[in-house]
Amino acid sequence: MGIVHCPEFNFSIHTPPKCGSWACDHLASMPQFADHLVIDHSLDWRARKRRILVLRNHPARVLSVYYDKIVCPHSMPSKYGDHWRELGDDPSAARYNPGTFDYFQKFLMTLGFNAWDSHLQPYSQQEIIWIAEANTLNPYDERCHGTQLAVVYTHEIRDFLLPMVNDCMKRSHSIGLEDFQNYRSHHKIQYADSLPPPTKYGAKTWSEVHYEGLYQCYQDNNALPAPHLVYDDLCQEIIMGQLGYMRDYARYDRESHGGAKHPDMKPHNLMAVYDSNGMIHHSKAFRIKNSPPQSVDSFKEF
Amino acid sequence: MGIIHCPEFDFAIYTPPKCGSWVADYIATLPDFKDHFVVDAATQFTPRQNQILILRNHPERILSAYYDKIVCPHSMPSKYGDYWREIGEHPADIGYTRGGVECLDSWVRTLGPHVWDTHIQPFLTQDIIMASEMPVLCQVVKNAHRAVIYTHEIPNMLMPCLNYFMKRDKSIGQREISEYQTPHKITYSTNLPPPQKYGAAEWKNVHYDGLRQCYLDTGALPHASLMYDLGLQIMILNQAGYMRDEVWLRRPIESGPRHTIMLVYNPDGSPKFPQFIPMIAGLPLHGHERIEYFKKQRENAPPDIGFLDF
Repeated sequence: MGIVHCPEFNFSIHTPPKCGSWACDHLASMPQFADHLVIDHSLDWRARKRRILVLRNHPARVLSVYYDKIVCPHSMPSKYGDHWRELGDDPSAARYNPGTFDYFQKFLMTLGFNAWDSHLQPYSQQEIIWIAEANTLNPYDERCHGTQLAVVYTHEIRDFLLPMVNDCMKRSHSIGLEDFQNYRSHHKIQYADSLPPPTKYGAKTWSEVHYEGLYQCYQDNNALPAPHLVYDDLCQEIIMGQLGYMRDYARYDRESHGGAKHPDMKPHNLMAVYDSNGMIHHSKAFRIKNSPPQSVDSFKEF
Repeated sequence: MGIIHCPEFDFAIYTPPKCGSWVADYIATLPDFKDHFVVDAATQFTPRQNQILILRNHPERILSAYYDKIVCPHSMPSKYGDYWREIGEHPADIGYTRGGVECLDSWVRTLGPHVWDTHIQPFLTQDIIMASEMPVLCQVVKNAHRAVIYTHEIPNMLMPCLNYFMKRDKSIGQREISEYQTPHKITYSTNLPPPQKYGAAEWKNVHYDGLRQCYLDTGALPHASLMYDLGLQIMILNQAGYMRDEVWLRRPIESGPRHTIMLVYNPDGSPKFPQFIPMIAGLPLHGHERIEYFKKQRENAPPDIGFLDF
């Protein structure tokens, strides 16, 4: 998990936690790819000429962590035995700081106290991403010369990851595409727009519903509220106050860097909350002013 | 600025913005050092065997950026011609957001939109620090040693560390560095008139022009321990990027953390809000692949330098 290598065609796929590592694991198991892709810890930090970063929208990522780790609506026992509901009485049993997780707004306001969780850490502070930047930061390593970096957002995985991987492998972009698009991650939590009002679960807004209320919501509806229901203006502002996330946004914004592009790829703002139609939900989600392109000068057309 | 190399002894000094680049520049001019050091953009990211990181406590760094860039009490014209007071009528004239700079309280609450300012970015998101990680990550340097020195330790610890890497007497240059004063340093004080004189009940709510007036009256600005209350301290602790810096870059001391880059300190060096020490010290370094690697390096490190002990 984290980096999948293709030594044969000298590229790698980098997936930080909560950014679709399931997709890369599945990809590496598909017959058309299994002989070419390697998940090998002894190779983990080897620099490759072409790198594909799979990144997730930060508001959606933080909410996903809250649902997965705090609300924890999964059936037990878990794959890794690390769900708090099978370990103790509340999420502190899984190391989350007491007093930080009662409801989502509070979780969002106390992210620093849970910064040990790699699922919440800013991308630009994770080794998986540093190594993807080795070309600009370590130009004296010959293995890094002439490299290309591309960003694929998690909501684009089904349509664009395989064509991009096939492009790196110098073959038809459609190989494996149908199989890949039919695959469903088995631990995916369903989101919904249409739910009973949050007052049914104990609070006026979804961002203030206790995690046990959300758990009950999942039991009743088999779904949890979509991000645009949970993020009100205050939550959007709080998350935009996170320097590390905003730095990710400035550093890895595909559009402002020229971007690795498929003709059908659309702009995406890493810091904005989106509704179910793919529209930015809050007018306060703005583009950062005065943010010149950073050192990632290797964004190129694939 | 940012990285100074010593190719001869194969080490480099990494100083992110607001972390004492002045001292690295000064050392590079000292007779005992200038023939050994190189400041050259062409070699900027060359990996080195040994590394010295100079880091600053985050609450102090944010306050320093606020004083320097927003209060802007300096005499004009500035060295780089980039003070807002010589350019326009508001800090927005050099890019800061209106409504986010009026007082320290609003500054700390709106750090995200000001992320373009390198002086407040988390260390690990900066090229200078990422570059220092590359030799190990890319495995192009074997047996790397790294030291972390906090800015308040520069006068006492930096020279011995440099001289150690240069394989010579640790006291060389010590007198010069101890006596040197940076010309643009803003003086801090805890002995000031009450904040009410400058328009607010608490220092954190005093307008930047009020703070400038304080500087003109007293020759000093409030010390961090006066500016930060519990709420602001918590807001800094809530920054996941800063906390990640703390966990990754901290220098463990056998008896417990003597200094963290997350806490507000009193002038006597004691933390203003010690209740957070256990929480910070208890933050685990999650998923670190290099623990064993650095433990092995540590075996050969001298005890008085403070090598990172992952």
